[in-house]
Amino acid sequence: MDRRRRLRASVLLVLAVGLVALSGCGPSESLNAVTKQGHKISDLWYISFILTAIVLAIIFGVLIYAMIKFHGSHQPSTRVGNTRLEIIWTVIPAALVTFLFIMSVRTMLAVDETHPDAIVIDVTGNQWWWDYTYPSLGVTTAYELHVPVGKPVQLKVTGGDVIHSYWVPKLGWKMDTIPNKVNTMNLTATRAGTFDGACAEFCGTQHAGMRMRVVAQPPDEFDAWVKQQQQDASALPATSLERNGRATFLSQTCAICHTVNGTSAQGKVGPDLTHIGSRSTIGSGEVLNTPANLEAWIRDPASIKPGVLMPGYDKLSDQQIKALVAYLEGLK
Amino acid sequence: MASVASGRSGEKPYSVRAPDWFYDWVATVDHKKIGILYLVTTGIFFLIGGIEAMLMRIQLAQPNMKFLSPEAYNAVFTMHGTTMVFLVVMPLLLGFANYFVPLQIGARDMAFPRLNALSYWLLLFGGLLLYFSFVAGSVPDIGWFAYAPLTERPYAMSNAVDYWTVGLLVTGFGTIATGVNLIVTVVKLRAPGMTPRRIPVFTWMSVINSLIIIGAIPSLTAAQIMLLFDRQFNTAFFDASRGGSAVLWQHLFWFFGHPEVYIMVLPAFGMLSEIIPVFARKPIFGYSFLVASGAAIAFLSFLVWAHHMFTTGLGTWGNAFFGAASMLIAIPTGVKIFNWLGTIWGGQIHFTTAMKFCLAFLALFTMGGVTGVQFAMFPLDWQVTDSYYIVAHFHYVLFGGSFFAVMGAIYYWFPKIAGKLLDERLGTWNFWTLFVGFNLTFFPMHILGLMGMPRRVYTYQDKPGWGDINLLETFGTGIMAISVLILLWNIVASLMHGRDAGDNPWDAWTLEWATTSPPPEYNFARTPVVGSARPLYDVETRNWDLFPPEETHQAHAAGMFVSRMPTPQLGVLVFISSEVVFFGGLLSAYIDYHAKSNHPGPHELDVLRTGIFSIALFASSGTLYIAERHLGKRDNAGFRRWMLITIALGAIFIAGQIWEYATLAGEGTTLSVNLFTSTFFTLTGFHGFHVIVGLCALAVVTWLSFTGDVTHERDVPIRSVAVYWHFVDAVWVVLFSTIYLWTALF
Repeated sequence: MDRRRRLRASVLLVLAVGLVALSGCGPSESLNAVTKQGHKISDLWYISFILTAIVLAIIFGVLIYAMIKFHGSHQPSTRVGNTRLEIIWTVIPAALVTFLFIMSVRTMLAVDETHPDAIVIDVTGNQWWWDYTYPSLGVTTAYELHVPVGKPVQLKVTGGDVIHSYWVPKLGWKMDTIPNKVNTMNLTATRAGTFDGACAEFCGTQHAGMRMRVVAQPPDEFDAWVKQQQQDASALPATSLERNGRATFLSQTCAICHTVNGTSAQGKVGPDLTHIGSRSTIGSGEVLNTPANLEAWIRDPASIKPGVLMPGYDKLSDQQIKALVAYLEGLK
Repeated sequence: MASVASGRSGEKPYSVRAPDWFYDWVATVDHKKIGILYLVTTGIFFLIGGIEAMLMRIQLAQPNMKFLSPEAYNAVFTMHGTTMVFLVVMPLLLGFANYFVPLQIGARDMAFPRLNALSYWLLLFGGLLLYFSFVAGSVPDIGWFAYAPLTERPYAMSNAVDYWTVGLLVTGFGTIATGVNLIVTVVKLRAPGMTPRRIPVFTWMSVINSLIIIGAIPSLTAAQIMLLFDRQFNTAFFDASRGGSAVLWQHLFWFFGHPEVYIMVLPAFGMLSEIIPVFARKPIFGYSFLVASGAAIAFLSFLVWAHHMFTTGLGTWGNAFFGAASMLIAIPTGVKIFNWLGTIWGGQIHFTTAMKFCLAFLALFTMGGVTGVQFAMFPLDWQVTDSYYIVAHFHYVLFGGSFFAVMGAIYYWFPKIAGKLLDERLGTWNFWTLFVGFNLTFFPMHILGLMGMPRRVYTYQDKPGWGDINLLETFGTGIMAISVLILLWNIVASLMHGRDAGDNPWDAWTLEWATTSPPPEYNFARTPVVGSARPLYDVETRNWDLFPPEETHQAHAAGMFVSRMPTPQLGVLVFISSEVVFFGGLLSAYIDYHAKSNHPGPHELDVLRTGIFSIALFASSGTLYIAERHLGKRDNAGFRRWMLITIALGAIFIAGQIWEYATLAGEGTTLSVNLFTSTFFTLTGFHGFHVIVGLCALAVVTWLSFTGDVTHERDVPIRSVAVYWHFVDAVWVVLFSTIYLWTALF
């Protein structure tokens, strides 16, 4: 081996090692599922990964060996084929994919297994936020999906306008939310935690900003959350500032798009705000839910999330906006 | 030629005339010049698509970048995908086929040289129309897949979607015409002695590729027509709020879109099968298996489209069927890889630049292939699809695969096209920069995908590791850009002062190397005759006489499988196969939708009246047959009489259709009322349009009979038109049964 070739080989080696090392780093969200169904899918992934690695090693090995061995002035053979070899390299891959197919079907059947007692949650994708309704519990919320650990849940996902796709990698899989079609996702969370995701089907300007969060809670915490969410906001405004905020909310165009249960605001175009104060972020995970951020959002949402469909309300007086923010943050 | 006389008499007329070279290229019907036009045009579009890719990579280099607005990013990724698929890879491969298929089969040109020129100009102007959207200020931003209903008026108000639709419709017509042309060329124009088993593998793959084009592109055409009608005529095909199906678009799109993947990769397989044997100094290993596996892939490619739709909820059986069919494709693809390995095994490998690209293809394409199997495993697809994992997968297939093969083909065939060799030293730099840059860009995407990064996002939040990996990818893109510059430099330097290539610089064995570099306009002064798949090897080793006297050609024609059908008739026959798919696309929409609308619905059609007019159309096939019989008996008067009767019957049918439309319109039933009317008018309207085109063709043929240009001896025009007319009748049998009889009976 001359120097140049050695240099080239070492560059390639560094590159290869670097890339492989890279694949080790970083927690692979997709392969560390927190649901029963997701575990099955990541198990399948590891099976396919091992087989894939073996196949790649064989093919790369033969290729590299041939490149070294048959390089140079060696007299070429004149063989034009070998039927036995053709049969072998048809049958072995056929057997491999048959195995992978059977494993895939088994995984699918396990994942699609429905549970009669599952809590049904309707999930609707809208440009560019997620709407959740728990019909049996009378709860409607947005962005944050709360599920109890260890209890089966069934998401019925659909599209409110265009096609979106509900993908929280830690849940283990995704489903498209399509207008005029309802898809189901069965999930049983295996541990508590907060898991983030984002829309996976291109859906327009703010596809990238259409995030969601799943909060898996122990059953008692979940029940407490449900109780809180079931309350309407009729009792709420405690302070005069908040009362002014409510008046502003109802007199401006807010109520055309948003719902606050217990008031006359019953709009269905934007997210339900009955418990906005209890959510961790605004703008579907764009910024943290703080009074300052909420004020900036109300003044000019597009400055935070370009392309968002909500118009800005910079025309309101500082007084009105302060009242509005106080009212909304109070909706716990 | 436009020479314009000046206004005042007596003065010397001046002439406005472009230089000769301009006419030479614009008016050319030479397959080689058209091939070069394809290569240059797609080369320029490649640079544009590459710049779009660079813009995306700059925006994604770090989290929360503001280099591009979301609108700009969405436009750029849409145009990158659309450009690379429709204006680069597919026409680039067709450009190579244009140049080399006639040479490889020892022909002087394509079967239809003027149609060939039309195909190219449709590509160019379709591409320019698409890019005019930049000038007009509304660039398509709906993804290359244009999923409805995001493409419908309420969500896409500007004309961006229309530029996308019409631009691609135009290029699609050209592509279908090229497919017809290549098939007929190889069926009709092979050199004496070129039996199916002696056809070079690149030519074989181009033919199989053309069959896929014929079967797949019309599905996109049908879908785009529906989308265009939705947007321009307010039909309801994909309008979710009126019951239209978003999933139907996906079925029609992917029925085109998956075969399209093979349209972009089969010719690349062919290139590899030409280059690897030459530089391994060995005949290709397992020729029949290579060709047969190509055919198997083509067949399977039409059964797997919905594997792009596993997350749309196909149901248990849908998942299982499309998953199984998709996994099956791994088998013939594996056969190809193993046969290429078999070819280099025991060979004498020469590491030319062309060979390096082909060997790299073997590794990179295999990588893309194994992740492809993972996507066929539907539960895995549910997790990793639409993440960066799939971006990695298809770039390994289309860039590491197809484009590396194209790079090999450039280094292999450029000397034939230009008569000059490319520099091998620059070639080595070109190869290594592209190989390293490619892997740095696309390998980490596997990891990013598994880390949960969705594709088609204009930015991302700062999560651990995401920024670093993305920065590495952007760095890799920069290396690839340098590589492209090296290629351009190499081409320019070679054209200016490259070494002369000679006829056959690689000591290769197929017919394109049996003529000068570049070949003369007529390719071969005398028709070559072949006795094996490697005619030039025969010349070298067993004194094969490549250009024997013409009298001996007949003796070599045994077992050739050359169709006796006249060339134009064969062309029409291949063309109407594509029409079958087009009507199939529209009909599938009708079948899906007709029952979803009650009023107006199919039961309100006047079955009896349309039935009577249909009899006129059905009868016209009989009268046309009688007309042909009269021509066969040299009875020209009888021929014309029956032709006129045929035309009259066709006209009666059209009159009936106009009456039907007028009645329906009178009741307020028009195209845009509901799903039923959308599908009904589109389907029957396109059929009516076909009848009118057929009537015009029949009228022309009848006229040619009067002028003595269609006679017993010169019957090709009527035979070709007759095939078309019977087809139009047959379509109506299907449509009448589905639309009218079905409703009347059930």
